Amino acid sequence: MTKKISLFILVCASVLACKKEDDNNSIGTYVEAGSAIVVNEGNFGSSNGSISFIDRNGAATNFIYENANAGLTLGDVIQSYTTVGTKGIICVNNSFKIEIVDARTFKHIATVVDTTATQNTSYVRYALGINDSKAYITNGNFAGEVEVLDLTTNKIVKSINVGKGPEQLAMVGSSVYVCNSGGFDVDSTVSVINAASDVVTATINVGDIPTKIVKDAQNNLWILCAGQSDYSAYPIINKLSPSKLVRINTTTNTVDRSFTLINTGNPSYVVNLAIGNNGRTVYYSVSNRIYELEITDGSLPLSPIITGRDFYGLAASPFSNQIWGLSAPNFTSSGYVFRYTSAGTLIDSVKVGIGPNNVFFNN
Amino acid sequence: MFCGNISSIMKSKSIYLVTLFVLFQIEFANTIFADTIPVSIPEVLIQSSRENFYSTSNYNYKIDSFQTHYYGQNSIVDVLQNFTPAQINTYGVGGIATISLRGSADDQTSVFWNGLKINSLSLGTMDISLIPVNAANSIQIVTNASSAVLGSGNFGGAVLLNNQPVFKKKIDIGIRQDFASFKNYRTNFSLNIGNEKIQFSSSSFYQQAKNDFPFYDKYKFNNPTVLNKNNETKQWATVNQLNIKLNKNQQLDIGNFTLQKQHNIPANMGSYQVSQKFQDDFTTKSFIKYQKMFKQSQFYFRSGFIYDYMLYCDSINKINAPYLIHQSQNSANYRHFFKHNIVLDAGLDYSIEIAKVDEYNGKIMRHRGAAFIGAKYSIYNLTINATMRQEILKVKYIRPQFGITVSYTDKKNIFSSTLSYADKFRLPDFNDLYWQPGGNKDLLPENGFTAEYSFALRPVKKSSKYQMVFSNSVYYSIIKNNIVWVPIFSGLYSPQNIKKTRHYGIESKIENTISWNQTNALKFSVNYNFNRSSIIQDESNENLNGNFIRYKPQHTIKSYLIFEDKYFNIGFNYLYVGQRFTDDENIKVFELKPYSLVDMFIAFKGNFKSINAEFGFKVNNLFNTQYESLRSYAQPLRNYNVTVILNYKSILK
Repeated sequence: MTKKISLFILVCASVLACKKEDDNNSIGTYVEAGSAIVVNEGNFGSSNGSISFIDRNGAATNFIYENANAGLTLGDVIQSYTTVGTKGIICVNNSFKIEIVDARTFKHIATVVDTTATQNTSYVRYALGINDSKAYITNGNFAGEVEVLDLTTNKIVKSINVGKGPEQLAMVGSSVYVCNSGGFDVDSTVSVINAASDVVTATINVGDIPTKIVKDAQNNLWILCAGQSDYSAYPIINKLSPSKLVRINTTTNTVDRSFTLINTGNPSYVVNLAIGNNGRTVYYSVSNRIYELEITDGSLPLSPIITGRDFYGLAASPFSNQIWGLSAPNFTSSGYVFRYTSAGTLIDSVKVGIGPNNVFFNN
Repeated sequence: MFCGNISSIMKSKSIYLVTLFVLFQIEFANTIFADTIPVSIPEVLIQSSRENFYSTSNYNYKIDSFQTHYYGQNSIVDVLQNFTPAQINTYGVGGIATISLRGSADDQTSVFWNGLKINSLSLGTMDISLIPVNAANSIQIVTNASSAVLGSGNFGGAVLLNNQPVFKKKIDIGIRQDFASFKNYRTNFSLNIGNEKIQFSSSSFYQQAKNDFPFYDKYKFNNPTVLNKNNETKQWATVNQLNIKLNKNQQLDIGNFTLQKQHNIPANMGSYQVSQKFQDDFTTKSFIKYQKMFKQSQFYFRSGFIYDYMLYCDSINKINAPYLIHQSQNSANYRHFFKHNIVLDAGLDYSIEIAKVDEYNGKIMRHRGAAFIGAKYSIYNLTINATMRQEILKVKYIRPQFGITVSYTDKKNIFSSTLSYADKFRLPDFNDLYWQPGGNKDLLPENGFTAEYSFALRPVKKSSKYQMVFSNSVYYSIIKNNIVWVPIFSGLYSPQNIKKTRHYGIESKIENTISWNQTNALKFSVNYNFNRSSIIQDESNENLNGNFIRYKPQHTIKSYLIFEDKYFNIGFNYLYVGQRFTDDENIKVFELKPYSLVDMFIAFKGNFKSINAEFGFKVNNLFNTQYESLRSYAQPLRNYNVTVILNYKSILK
């Protein structure tokens, strides 16, 4: 019986998937398990950011927000997307707003503009669902805040002061870990917030400019610290502080592993972090090379698994074990998702919107 | 051979007209040709600067005083937008406005003021909202501007702004006050005084505007009506010129144009935060020109100094970026009129360019030189221009630039045509070279060419009350090594020579005038432009080949209807801008829809002895059209302007 139901669901999903492939303008079910939402930030100042949907078969449907909302465009610099319950939360950085949509259809529900917090929605970056009625939003390019979004009223109800320029955040148990990148300045900390009381309970030093954070299979957190770089004499890049990959042990809230990716003085740069293989493999990029690190490894790998292409974003599919490299050849034309096997062999590529920067996978 | 064919065609007007129709499928066309080699060497040709002398053969647009009078209350933006094929990219009322011609980029069109190139050295563009109409009494667009004549940066053409003195004994004093929507007030004062030996002209204005216009925000859900906030502007300018005839053969011209504009910069549409951006532009440009006429020749030396200061602030992002640029542009030219209608020019240019910008990591200084030779030869009804320029730069070698123009005008001036070829190049601007991070000192100059054929037909006798000019231009351009800023890695961009583009099109214009007497006239003009500008190679994304260049419409129409009477004038203006893509991918979702705008004005006039008084009323965007010149930049709906003018004129004997 279970097999029959599974088969029926599979057939239905296939039919729906085929339908979407045929009609680029259709409004689909954008929450199917195994599918992905690609965030295309667009060209700064041009209000041409967009969202693409890649179904479980790998076919892409672009401009799903515009299609669902009578051509209304999403805004300027789409930074991130996540779901909380049935709602999708889109952080639109340079439009200074949070757009809430029906995650299934991408139809507009509300635009959240904070007028109570000291920063307003001045620099919204990433969202994280705490429960079905509550989400955290990182906000601010200098003094940083985490805004508490009430999803029953779609209003920001509280601001939590954290470090400068808060970026990605992750939740382990009832604690939320926020990377404080410094924004237009420099910070080197991760703030820990108690999600029940909305109070900062700890601040952990990790390394200069922590921007990306992923949770591994052991409920520990891996953080990419970009390090400070001086580009004022480009093409010479002067690395002022090292780029690091660090692990926070969430039981003790301490850094228990620290790998130096790029030493001071080295002209390379680091941008991307992803986790795959059910939380057991960390992927990171240094310049145009992507490396994999098992979470139990004691040293960094010597050889990359993918080379030769600069990616603007990096993701690892939890469903197919594929590595997705997000390519933005320029910000005046479409970008691409390059899909690789976990061994680094290129499978294919698919065209998405302008400036793809990250991916949200539907469970 | 070619001109022989033209001549034979001219034998039959009807065949000629049919041929035109079949060839171009265009009903409307434009402009006037004037190109003669002097037999008796008229003074205007002797005195003409090199830029004007070798640009007169092309398919040019000249703005008349009537057009500047009714459309020039703010700057030259409205004038160029409505009466020339120029494409104006405006960031909204009070904001920056740039000009591009024939599908080229806005840093590929040069603007000259009395021979000085005034484009920004940092950006390559010219913010034409900074140029009031009274900065020049002659505004001209040279569509096929040659790099051999005008140097770097004229792929689409050039705008020549000149102050040409008329030596007469006179006093002319004018006061003009404009009151416009959105708390926009402008006061202008002008003075022209002189005699047969000395002329002095001065014009000053002060303007302040709130510019808080309402608009429908189509980037927000349900398109709410919102006010454009943080858009205030304050601006003043003064333009002064002194022209002295030292004696019968020598003349000295001195001029200065000083302006300051302070304006807030509003947020884009769709934004939920009030912008805190601000820009302060201060510029002063001066020139001194000495010229001496000999029996069969002329020599001039012109020296110009430009000081540009710009401060950009963004309080939210704590940006405070001052730019300081000095330039000294110097030019010497010797022209000789030989027998048999041959004119030869030889000239030298030398410039020093200095920039002090924090992001350039200190002071930048660049020396540039150029040598020029040109020849103009007239035989029967033909005139041939040939020009060559060698740019001299310390770092980069630029091959010699050539230009040639062959013009034909029949004896009765019914038909004239021009065939021309021009080499083009553009040096990278200072931001491209020196901005850190990302600046690329290894950039090559952009280069290419333009070929053009144009003609004008005036089928009605000059004595007739009805006058008609039908003119047409067909052009083809290639631009190689286009400089584009592309991402190198996350967050860092750098300019690269990665694009090759092609531009071709037709510009057509028909102008009609019916004059009943000296004071009554009806003028009607339609200007249609077809332009196809496309990417033919982009090294950052090979899938873009063949796509339209962003923001370049294929179709534009500009038209006006004006009735002039002794006591009043009334006019309508129509502008149509076709569909434009806003990205290189030509994504339909982000395209800008075509739009049409209609303006109207009515003015009442009266004379009281030597004083002319005028009261004008103008409605802009009569049909309340919502439109975008650039994506997500708000434009005003219907708005109004009231003008009061008092002018004292006295021609002294």
